[in-house]
Amino acid sequence: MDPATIALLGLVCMFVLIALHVPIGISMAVVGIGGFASMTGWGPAVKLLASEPAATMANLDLAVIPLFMLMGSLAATGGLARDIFETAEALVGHRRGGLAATTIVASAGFGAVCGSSVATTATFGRVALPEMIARGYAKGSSAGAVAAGGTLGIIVPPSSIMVLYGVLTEESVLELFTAAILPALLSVVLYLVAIGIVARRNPEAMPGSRKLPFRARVLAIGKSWGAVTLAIIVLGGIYSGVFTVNEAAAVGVVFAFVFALARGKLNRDTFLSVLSEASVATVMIYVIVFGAMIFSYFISLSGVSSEMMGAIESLGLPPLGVIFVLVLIYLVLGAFFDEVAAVVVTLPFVLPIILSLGYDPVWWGILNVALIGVGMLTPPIGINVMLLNAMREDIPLTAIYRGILAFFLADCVRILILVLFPQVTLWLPSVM
Amino acid sequence: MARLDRVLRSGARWLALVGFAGLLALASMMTLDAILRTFFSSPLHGVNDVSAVVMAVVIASCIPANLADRKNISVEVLGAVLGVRANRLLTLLSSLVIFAFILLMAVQFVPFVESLYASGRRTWVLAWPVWPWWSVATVFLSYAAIIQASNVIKDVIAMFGTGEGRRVAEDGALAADKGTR
Repeated sequence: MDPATIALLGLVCMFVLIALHVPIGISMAVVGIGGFASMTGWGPAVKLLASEPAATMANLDLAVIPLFMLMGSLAATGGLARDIFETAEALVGHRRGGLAATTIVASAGFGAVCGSSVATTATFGRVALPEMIARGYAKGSSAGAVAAGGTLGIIVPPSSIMVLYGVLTEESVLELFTAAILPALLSVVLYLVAIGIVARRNPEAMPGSRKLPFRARVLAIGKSWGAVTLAIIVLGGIYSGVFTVNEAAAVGVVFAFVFALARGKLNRDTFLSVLSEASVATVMIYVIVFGAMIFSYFISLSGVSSEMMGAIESLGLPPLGVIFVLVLIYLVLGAFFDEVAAVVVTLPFVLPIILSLGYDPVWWGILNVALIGVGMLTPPIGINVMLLNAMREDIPLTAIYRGILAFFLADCVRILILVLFPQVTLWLPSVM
Repeated sequence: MARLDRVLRSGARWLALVGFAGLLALASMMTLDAILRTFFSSPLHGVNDVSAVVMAVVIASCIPANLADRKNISVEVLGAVLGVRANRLLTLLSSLVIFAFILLMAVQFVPFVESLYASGRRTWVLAWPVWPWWSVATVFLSYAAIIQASNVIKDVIAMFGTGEGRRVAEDGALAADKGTR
């Protein structure tokens, strides 16, 4: 059997194992070892079980992921998400659709100190969702705003998934963070436009509320000082070159810890819960990376990527056509896979195609993250939607999906802009 | 047996907490290094060395708890569609694959550590020998294999057992799924 056939069989086996409930990272590792063994023998293959996990655990670039996870958990426990929400609410909450806009702006702000989509959704599912429903917002629209806002957690830098992409593709994490700034702003603006349209078409779904006096609104800005300081330390430190990405994450952890402690939000139980939450999220990512590293060895050795590129060339599609096919594939994958899994599983196949078409890997990285974010909203298994449904069983899935529709359309516009105008992504890294 | 299982799982969770508390200490050291370097031009010596070896231990310390609580990213649509018995069978199959993987990984770490010991590899700046750190990581991985063996036993009982044994096994799996910490 030729190596490319072995690789394709391996891919099928991997999806079968995933369908049989085997964790995604372990499915990748098992197939990677089996495939590698079929080409080189079992001796070198089983050695990958030590060498690749060891290299991953000792990788200092990846060390930023547990640090960001810890910072995000401490920030949420310290009440930073509520602070950002209250500030945004005081500024725009009185307008029609204002609380939904507040949720979007606050989610973006929290994304700047968290870096995870699921964590952002869970946090605002607790902070913003009850508030919107209490103020007469339709449940579906409220949940839709929270789920869509959650996707900003991975597109607003710093983002764990961008770190992972950077490590796996050997691209600069700093360049990825810089490239993500304009697409993140674009996402926020398009979501706000979507809210404006929904609020205009169906005012009862997103009613306005009482406007605070000017002085109270100005004072409310001060409430977010902790979150603003943390974002300035982390992002300002990284972009100014004062800190490396790892150092910025470490300083962020210490600041978030001291802040939560000073606020009296950390006791024995909450501290243990923070550590536990961060450790669970970290190992889930590391197990997938173990699998991805082993799987990548197998795929590289098989040479299937060049076969795939040949097949794509034979289709006669223009490069943009190939990109649109990939966009559709990612939208489907994102609806079934977790954000990390969707990127990691496909990278060994897709990156060589992107490079052979002459596209910039940084541009693709940002587009990839944006696509995965959209997949987290779409049926059958939009993870953010499922999470909210689990948190609030009184809101039916159908209502949440209806509430998401406007945001999904906004996402489609954003993806189109990012694909057609790569400068939106690449301009800022080129001038910074 | 049930008591041993509880002790093992509780130990795994405490190990992860201690590991992540170590990460907090490492973050404090990195912060101090960054501040001293930026404002006083006198960085701490060898912080990257410490990070590289400590991170391996931190990550390895969290794997047993991850398995104890069955917190891995997986797609469990098929079991939900096929019914309770098929779901149990799939859970058992998945547990067996995870067990084989983690056991082989722990076993492969032994010659890896031996090679580090034999080569006398040390960190770049502080010249710390790296094998003791990886030995600790290997012990934690072995502990993870024991935890996963316990998961397999529970899943076998849930699949083929009857009466009280199955109820206890299912309660254990349910508690783990809810992430009891």
